[in-house]
Amino acid sequence: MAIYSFWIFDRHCNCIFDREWTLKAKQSSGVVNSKQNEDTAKLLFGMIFSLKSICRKLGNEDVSNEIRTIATGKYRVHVLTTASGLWLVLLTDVQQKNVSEVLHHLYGEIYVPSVAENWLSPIDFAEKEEEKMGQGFRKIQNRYFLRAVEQYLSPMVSR
Amino acid sequence: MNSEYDYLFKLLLIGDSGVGKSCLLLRFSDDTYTNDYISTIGVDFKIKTVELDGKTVKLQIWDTAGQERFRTITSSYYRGAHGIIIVYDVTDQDSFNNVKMWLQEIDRYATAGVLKLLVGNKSDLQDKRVVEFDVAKEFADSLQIPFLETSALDSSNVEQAFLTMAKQIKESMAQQHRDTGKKDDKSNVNLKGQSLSNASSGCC
Amino acid sequence: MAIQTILVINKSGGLVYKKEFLNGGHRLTSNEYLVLAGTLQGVIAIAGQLTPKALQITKNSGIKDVTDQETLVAYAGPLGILESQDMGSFMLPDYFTESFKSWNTSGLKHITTDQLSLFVFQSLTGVKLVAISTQNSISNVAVSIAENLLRKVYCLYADYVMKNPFHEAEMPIKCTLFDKKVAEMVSRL
Repeated sequence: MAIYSFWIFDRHCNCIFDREWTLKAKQSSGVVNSKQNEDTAKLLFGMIFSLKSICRKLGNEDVSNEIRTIATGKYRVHVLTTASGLWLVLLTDVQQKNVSEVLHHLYGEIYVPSVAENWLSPIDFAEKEEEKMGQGFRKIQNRYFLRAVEQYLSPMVSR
Repeated sequence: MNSEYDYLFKLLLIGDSGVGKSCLLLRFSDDTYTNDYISTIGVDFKIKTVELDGKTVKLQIWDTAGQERFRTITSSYYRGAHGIIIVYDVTDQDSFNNVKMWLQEIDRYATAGVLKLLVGNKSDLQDKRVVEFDVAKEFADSLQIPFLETSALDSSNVEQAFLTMAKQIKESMAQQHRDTGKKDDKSNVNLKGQSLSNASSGCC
Repeated sequence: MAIQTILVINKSGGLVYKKEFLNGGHRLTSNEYLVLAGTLQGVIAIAGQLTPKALQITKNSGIKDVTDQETLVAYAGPLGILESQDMGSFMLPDYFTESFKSWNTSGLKHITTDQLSLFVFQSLTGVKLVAISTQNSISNVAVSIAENLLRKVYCLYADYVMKNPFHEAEMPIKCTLFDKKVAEMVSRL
């Protein structure tokens, strides 16, 4: 298994967390909440967003029809859409067919206790009205969350 | 029959962000779309169905985003375009200066001989105008590109220009057909089995 | 695997062929399909841009990546082509009987949602064939069947569309034989 990057988007289309590993062999490589990844985050968001709207039209409208995976020739994108409108996105190698358990763990065991149920963490990462249309810049800075993500995902970065 | 349309033409709208590209064609397209693709994948679509010489033609207008982060992606949208409309804002000198840059992009990415049209938008804001009609007209003439000015208040001349463009595309396609047909006549296929040098010397 | 729709998108992102196989269900208008095709064109361009840095680095350092093996697609049987029936201009029972190399090495390949899967096959010339199936399977078998099916549709395209003197390049496909052969193949699946 190889994990390339992990992203969280909030319901205002803002990327509130990103972690990219740039070297397969080194678990500590790469960047967290990087300014350089701003454009990449927007493009990734755009790709998922437009595919979601295509699939919503193609499927039965009464039942949920959320994107699970997007496979390309080189990598695979896994998406978990939560009821609160959060997207957790994991980029892995193409061999990983199903990592929904990993995504559910990241959400249920790490995000919810350390961010959602944390009284010191903001409820909404977009503090002002103008930050609500994908213009936001605030990221999850919570130490417990960052450490937990690192501890959980790092062993999976290189197989 | 499978397809509800006979022809599909790809028209591209380019220009700096903020020149009002999207507003130009609000009333022109078949149905209004409420999607906000343009900010996410750098392109939005408007479709107009028209009848030309008894054929149903779909004009698919690719409205591209001017933002920098889409630059590499928008270049891929130029592929196979039949017509390209370059838009600038008459109240913004920079947007007019950048027209040259957009023309270079066209030369680099689009098919040679693609139809072009230069449009100066927001012509209703006379008191804020900085790009004079004559200047833009002269520039367009020097490049042999049709030019017009328009505003969101009355964009009927743009719609007319679009339809003219569609007609030209259809004519040029028919022309190509005739040309390739002619080329075949002239080509070196010799069904009678005579040697080609003999045949040509016989003509002279 | 029930195929809901087959689409052919030309190299510039224009929808030139659309065939729906299942009755009922939600149907898109022809304009919505055109938007869908254009959007896919954009997504394919973005998908190439989003290749993770880790992969770009290994590629530059010359380490052979495991993903290279994945590009070979196994032959999945005749898929509804009858033994006795010759396909197009070939005098063979099938267009190909060997595994083939996928040309689509960096772009979008398939998407799975709660309800359906969408498969994309790209030719070297930039033609994109899309199959939408009503199952959301991501198993290797389903993927290889879809790739095989789309490659066969591509063969049909080469035979019945490209060789049709009345077909105008990059324009909507109006070839009855192509239509018929695609329908036959999908119905026997």
